[in-house]
Amino acid sequence: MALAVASLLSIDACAQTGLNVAPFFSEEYASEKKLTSVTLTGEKCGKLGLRVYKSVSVTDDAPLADRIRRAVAKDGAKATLKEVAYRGGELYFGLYSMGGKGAGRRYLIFLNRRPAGQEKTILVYIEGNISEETVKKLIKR
Amino acid sequence: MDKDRLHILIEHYFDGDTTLGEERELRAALLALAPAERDQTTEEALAVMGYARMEAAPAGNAASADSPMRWRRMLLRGTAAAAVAAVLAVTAVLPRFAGDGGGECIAYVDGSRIVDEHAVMGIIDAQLGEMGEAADDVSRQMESDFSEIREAMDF
Repeated sequence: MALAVASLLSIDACAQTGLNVAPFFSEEYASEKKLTSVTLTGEKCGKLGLRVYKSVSVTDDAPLADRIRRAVAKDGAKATLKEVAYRGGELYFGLYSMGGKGAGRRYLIFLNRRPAGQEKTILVYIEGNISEETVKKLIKR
Repeated sequence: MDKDRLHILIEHYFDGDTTLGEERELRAALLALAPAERDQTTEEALAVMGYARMEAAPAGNAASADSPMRWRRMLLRGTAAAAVAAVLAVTAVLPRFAGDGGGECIAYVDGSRIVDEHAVMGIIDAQLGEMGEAADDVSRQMESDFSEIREAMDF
């Protein structure tokens, strides 16, 4: 099983390199309990208008969620554009444009449900030739 | 590595609960054991990992046919064989997918791998839906804030 994970997740493993959140999309975390990870690339991803879609969702694991949140904050500090909201002193929602050109444009979308009373964190990494407005339409569709 | 930690790690390994890092740690610890330090449990782990041969166990021994460890070992071998077969199958078709721009469509939920496209897209829809709700929530908060500011300015 570890061999299958390592082999399949190595494809596009470098898509989010250079970002502090990159390790959370690695095969090391794919087998974590309480974590849901998604990898979508190529033709499957093209249906969404994207080149790469990766996400991790953590439920009932506050320490891991906090590590993700800190990594997002570090990357967010370098964002070219961002739309963020804080609740109860914590980062609640964030949409970050991480630069790039054409099909290499990169975005991070972060949601921390803890201020709403639910221990759940979602982090989405998107890559594709789309604008920030299109990303917003994607999540509000 | 102390013996208790080693046995716990072996237990997790046979249950399929170890991470890649823990498996590397376990492998290194097992290979560092002197022959005199090995016991039944460590020998079984080494055997599954391919580093030792298991002798046939006498009846009543912990490694007998109905022992949980033997059952887990067989299950792990079967799982490993299935994983290798899965990798070979996927790599055989990958070039075709690459030519068609097929790409990946994989999800892991609580450590279980999901490749059914509808299931994966369902997970994505749910995640984007939650993001959308939060984004709408933020927009409503902004509107509420602007409304209060406008009221204050009218004063």
